[in-house]
This record gives sequence, C-alpha cells and structure tokens, in this order.
Amino acid sequence: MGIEDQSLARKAANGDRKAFDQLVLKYEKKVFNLAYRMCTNYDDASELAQEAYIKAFKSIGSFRADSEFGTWIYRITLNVCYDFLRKNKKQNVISISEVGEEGYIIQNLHSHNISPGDYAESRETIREITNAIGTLKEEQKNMIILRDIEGFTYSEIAKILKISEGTVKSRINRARLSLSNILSAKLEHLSPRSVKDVRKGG
Amino acid sequence: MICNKYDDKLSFYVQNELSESEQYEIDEHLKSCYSCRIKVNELGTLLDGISKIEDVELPEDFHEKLLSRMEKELWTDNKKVFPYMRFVKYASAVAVFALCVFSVTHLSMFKSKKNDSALADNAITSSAASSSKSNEYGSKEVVPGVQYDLKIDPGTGTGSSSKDSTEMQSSIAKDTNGKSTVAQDKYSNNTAASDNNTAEADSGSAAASAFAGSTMDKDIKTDATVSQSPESKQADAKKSVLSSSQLLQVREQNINIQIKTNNLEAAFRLIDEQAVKVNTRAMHIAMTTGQTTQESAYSSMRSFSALQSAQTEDTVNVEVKKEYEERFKALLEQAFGKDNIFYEASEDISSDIDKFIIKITL
Repeated sequence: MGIEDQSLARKAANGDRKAFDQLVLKYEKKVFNLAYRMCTNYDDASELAQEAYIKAFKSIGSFRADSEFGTWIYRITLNVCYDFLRKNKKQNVISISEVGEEGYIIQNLHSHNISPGDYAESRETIREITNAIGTLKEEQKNMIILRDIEGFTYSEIAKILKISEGTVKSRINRARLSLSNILSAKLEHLSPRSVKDVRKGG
Repeated sequence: MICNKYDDKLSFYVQNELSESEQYEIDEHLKSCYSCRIKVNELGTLLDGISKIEDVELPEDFHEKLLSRMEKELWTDNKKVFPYMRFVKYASAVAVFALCVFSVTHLSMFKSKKNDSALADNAITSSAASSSKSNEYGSKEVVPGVQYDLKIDPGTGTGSSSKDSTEMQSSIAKDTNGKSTVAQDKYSNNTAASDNNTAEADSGSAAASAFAGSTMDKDIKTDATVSQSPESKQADAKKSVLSSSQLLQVREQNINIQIKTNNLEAAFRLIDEQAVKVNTRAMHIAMTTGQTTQESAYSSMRSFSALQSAQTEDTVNVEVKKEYEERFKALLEQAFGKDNIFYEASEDISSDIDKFIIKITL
C-alpha cells in the first residue's frame, strides 16, 4: 500500500492528474473526519479538508520517498486545523448537533436495529463525552481524537505527530484519565458497568 | 483512599493491551482496591462510549468541490507551481530565516557579553554592536530587554554562550571546508567575470554582513557609492563563504529558538528590516552570480553552499508569547510564503508562553 502511494505521489508530483485523484479518493473520508473531529463543524471540516489537500499537492515535491502518504496528509490536515482553530479560537467549543453527527447516529440506529431508548442513551452518552473532549487541553484532545475516535495505531500517531510511541502511549493514557475524571460523576450515571464487562473480551 | 499505583496502565488494562502478567497483576490489585476499580469502571464506560462515535459521511459535493479547487489553484497555468521556482523561493526563504536567526543570536551574544573584553576583538560581535547603534528603530535601547537563546540540537552546544559560539564557528569552518571551496571558486569566478559590477560585490558581502548582525543600512550606502579593492572583494568573498558554511551548519540542525521577552515588538521590527533586505540580497546573489534566467539563478542558488544540501523539510521550534503569535506568524508567512509553513499544536496552551512548532516545507 505504501509503495503504491509513493508511486502515485511521484506521478502526482510530475503533474499526473489521475494520480492526484486516486490519492484524494483514497484518503478523503479519513481526512474529512479528522478535520471534523478537530473543528467540530461540518462545513468548516469540508473547507479544511480541501485546504489540506491543496496544501499537500502544492508541496507534493517535498513528499519524501521514505514517508507514507497517509501519515503526511493527516499531519497536514492537523496543521491546517490547528491554524484554523487558533485563528477562530474554537478549541473548547464542541457540538454533536451537526448534520453529519445526527446523520451517522440515525444511520447507526437503523443499521444496528437500536431501540429508541438505547438511541437516546447512546446519543446522550456521546453528547456528554464529546462535550468533555472539547474541554480537554489541546494535546490531550488530539490524542483522544486520533486514537480513540479515528482509530489510528500508536505507530501511526507517532509518525503523524513525530513523537515516539512511548510518548504517544503515555499521552493517550493521561488524556483518557483526564477525560474520565471530567466525566466521573456522569459516567457512573450513564452506564455503570462491572470490571469484567468493561474489559474487552473479559 | 485514592490509589494511583496503576494510573499509567489502567486505560491499557481496560483495552486488554497489557502483557498477560501485567493484566494479571492488575486483576489481583483490583480485588483489594476500590479506588482503582472505580477508575477502571469509568474508563471502561468512557471508552465504550467513544467507540460508539463513528465516522461521519463526506459532504455530497466534497469531491467535486475539491477537484474544482485543485483545478483552479493547482492547474491553472498562471498559478501552477514550477518545481524550480519553488526551490528558489524556498532557498531564499531559508537563507532569510537563517540570516535573521543568526543576526538575532549575535545581537543576543552582544547583549549578554557586552562587558566581556574578550569579545571586543570579535569582528562579528563588533559588527553587531555597530548595527545596534545604527538601527533606525533604536534597537540598542530595546534589544537589552529582549532575551534570545539559540539552541542547536544535542551535540553542537548552544549559541547563547560566546565561548560555545566561537568554538562552533571554528568547527563549522573546518567541517564544511570541502563544500565551501566549491562555493568560493564559483563565487570568485563570478566576481572575476564581472569585476566592474559593484552590485555583485554588494551581494557578495551581503550574507556576511547580515550574518554578522548588521542592519545593512550602512552597507547599502557604502557598497553603492564606493568601489572596493580586489583585496576587500576577496575578503568579502571569504566572509561570504564562511557565512554560507555557517548557514549550512544551521540548516543541518533543527533550530530551537526560544524567545522569552516582554518586548518582542522591537525585535520584530528589527527582524522585519533584516528580512526584507536580506531577502532582496539573497535573490540578488542568485541572479548576479549566474545569468539572468531563472534556470541559472536556480543553479547559482544550488551552488550557494548554504543551500547545497537542502533538505525538503525543516522543523523549527519557536516558543513565543501568545500576544505576539499572530504578528510572528505574519512575519514568517511573509518571509517563507504562507504555503510553506505549517503550525502545530502548542505543548501547553494553558501557560502564558505559547509554544508552537513551525514546519517549513518545500
């Protein structure tokens, strides 16, 4: 997959539009989602994801053969988002009342045959959690988004942020504990579970 | 009682990511620790909740909009980015930044060691001193209120110590001797080829002057009106090579600039002054040492030893107070081109010192 991306990136650098298009198609959903989680606004996310691609392709010549295109485009996406957030000071504003979020919840409801009661609970849980994520420090918020929401591996996050895997892990752990502390009272109320239940496979 | 014994592992425990023995160890601990059991419960509920957050769908028109923007911004002829033009832009930007960084550093050296008689003989520091005096913004008054530390990553020491700095310069001259020779030869040839071109002599000394912390006002007047002797041209050429070698050394490092000051505005004005002039001169060097075409300018820039082994990406860590962030970024964007700079998150936005990482990419 990596070699294919490198080949596409090389072609794109030489002006091959098809290669550009393939790279866009391959990563656009993830790039958009990352932007959405960072800025929490559907329309802004669309603009930012586009901006990330434009920036990437404007500097495609600097894409190094030993890099992964995915890591590179995600890093650019994050940087575009940071820049946007700084200018707009929206770090601590988070909302799930966007079209996209509603859309996915409704979609989820149908596809998983979730009862209206569970849907309400699920929606409330997500609302509480996303609100709490919005109050985290930027570094911790990013960790939760990258690992727990977007599902990047530790190794991928390390490459995107250019930090060691050890640092990634300790930051993620700290971020989760902070988030858990913020939600402490609500978590108990939302969905009390036994230790056995919460352990995956346990 | 609150127990923090396994705080660094609990979330991984919940995710079953620990080794078998570690999982077992915590299992055993949980039997007797109510505090950790609560934490594990909460973490589990939290992660379970987060796992329900799924991807959102792309806007229907996302792909079309993106392609349309790309068509407009990347493919339209007059905006198409030519690789070699990017290099020239990048190369000059790097030169500008490195020169500015060194100018600032030497001003700092001057400030921190202005009473050190050992430095009185140091030509670079002397030059910095004269620049402070001649600066139209009165930098001599404001610079003492500004503290700069230039840190070069492990192994090279720091620029804040005059001793270290002197040693570094010596080692630079030695280490990059081979590369410098190429540049010097090229430069000398060019000097010989257009001996009557005073503008070129001016450009030849530009890097050294700027590097030494001069504000350049004085240089411009002098170079424009007084013809230099061959000896002085040679000396200037040599200085230029030394400067470019030092620039090369800087380019090969990640540069950490830590700016901790309450009076950055004055420093910005100073850097602004330098940036505009140095940028002009950096391009001037490119254009006058080769022919007047873009290709040869590009070639000349490549031969400029400071840029000979240019990498495609540099990371510069800048620590700057929040109140100056926008101003600082505007300055950088002006010098480097907006598209060549990416900003990363600060390490800790709660502190009054706002840190952000600036990445310059080609």
